[in-house]
Amino acid sequence: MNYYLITNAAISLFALVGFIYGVVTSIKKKQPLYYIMIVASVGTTAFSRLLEVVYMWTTEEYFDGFHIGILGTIATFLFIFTANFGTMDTIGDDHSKRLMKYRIIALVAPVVVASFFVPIALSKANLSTKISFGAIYIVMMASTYFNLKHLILPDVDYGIIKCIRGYNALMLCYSVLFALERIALVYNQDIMLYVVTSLIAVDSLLIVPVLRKGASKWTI
Amino acid sequence: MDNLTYVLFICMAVPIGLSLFLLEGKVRQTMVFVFIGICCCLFISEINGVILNHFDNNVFYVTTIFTPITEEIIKAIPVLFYAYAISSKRRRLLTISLATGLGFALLENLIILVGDIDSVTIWWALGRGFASSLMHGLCTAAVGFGLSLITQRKKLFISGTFSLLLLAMTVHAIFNCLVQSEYPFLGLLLPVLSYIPIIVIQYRNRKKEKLSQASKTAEKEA
Repeated sequence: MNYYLITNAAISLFALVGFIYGVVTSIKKKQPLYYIMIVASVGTTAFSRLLEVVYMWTTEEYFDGFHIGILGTIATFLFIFTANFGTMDTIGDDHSKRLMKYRIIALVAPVVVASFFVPIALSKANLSTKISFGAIYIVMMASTYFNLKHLILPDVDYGIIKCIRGYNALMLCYSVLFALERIALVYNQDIMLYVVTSLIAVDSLLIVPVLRKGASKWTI
Repeated sequence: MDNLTYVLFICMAVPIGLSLFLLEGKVRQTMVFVFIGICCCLFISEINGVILNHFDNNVFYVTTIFTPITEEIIKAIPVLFYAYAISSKRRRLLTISLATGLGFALLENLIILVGDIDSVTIWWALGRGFASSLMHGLCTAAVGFGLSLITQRKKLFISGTFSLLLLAMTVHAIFNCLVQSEYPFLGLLLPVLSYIPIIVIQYRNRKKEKLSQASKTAEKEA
């Protein structure tokens, strides 16, 4: 588990850098609520991973079953869901029939995420682990739905959705990688675990700057 | 001997309660929330005691898994009530949430002091004074700050509030985990390091406000 501790520390560090960047940019210039919530989400990633690192470091064992890091991870996806559902979706989706096909296509994302849970449900992991991971997957299904929807949705007004397509693509990658990480954890696939967590670390670093680049066009 | 937790509670709550009749306005409101924080701590100490007994007094397990959840929920309830029923102004919410967290930390420090009185030193007091009070204050203040943002839209209410609570629980659990590790000073660093940038930002904001007020009065005079 030592390599996993290191990759987790890398995720925490990279996410913390992204979080600090987000906080600094928010202080320098007033940012939209959507941006602030995504920054909070990245900050939560940093803290939840830090908790896992601290726990593994102090007890020299991996959390088995439920732990507060799970709640932190749920918070990460819940912040993304809240930002998308509460702020961006109101602007991007005018609830017209014209956009119905995009809403239906976007359902592919939660279905894919749910399919990633099947191997976990069929594994020999204990019930507590399955329930904890299941709770994360449920929130992740909701957040990925909006990420995919905003990725494919044609722009209704002012090019707001178009500007943040890069960010939405990154978030979808993050969700898929996260789902793969949980599978690797349950089946003790070490190499897959290290590769996936390394990619998550890079993704965590990129999320806020990419969103910032897109969000900076909103004011033009 | 009576339950010392209640003795400590009375010693702290009575003077604060009596001072409320003399104070006015925002100061009184702040003191009310310090008082509420103390009451929250008393309530949760009983619940945590039950959980601890249930898990055979496994302090590390309970303090890293359960107490962050129970404590953050109970501290957030008065802040939530204030945000949705009284005012969602950012500055007020920050003040009252910080006051709730600090009130909570005050009684918690005393309860831990009394429970482990033989091993208490000046360094222990400094550590708990700086770290624990800041951690409780900052976690609740983070919830208060977030609430000031999410109360802008109804759609954000449920999921936003949950996200904030979960964030506070995570930070709380890191602190609890670190202070019980071989390097407890790392646990003390976490809240202190988080507090410094907040002070700097607050100082800058106040300076900006003073400058804008001065320019406004200068314009009026002109």
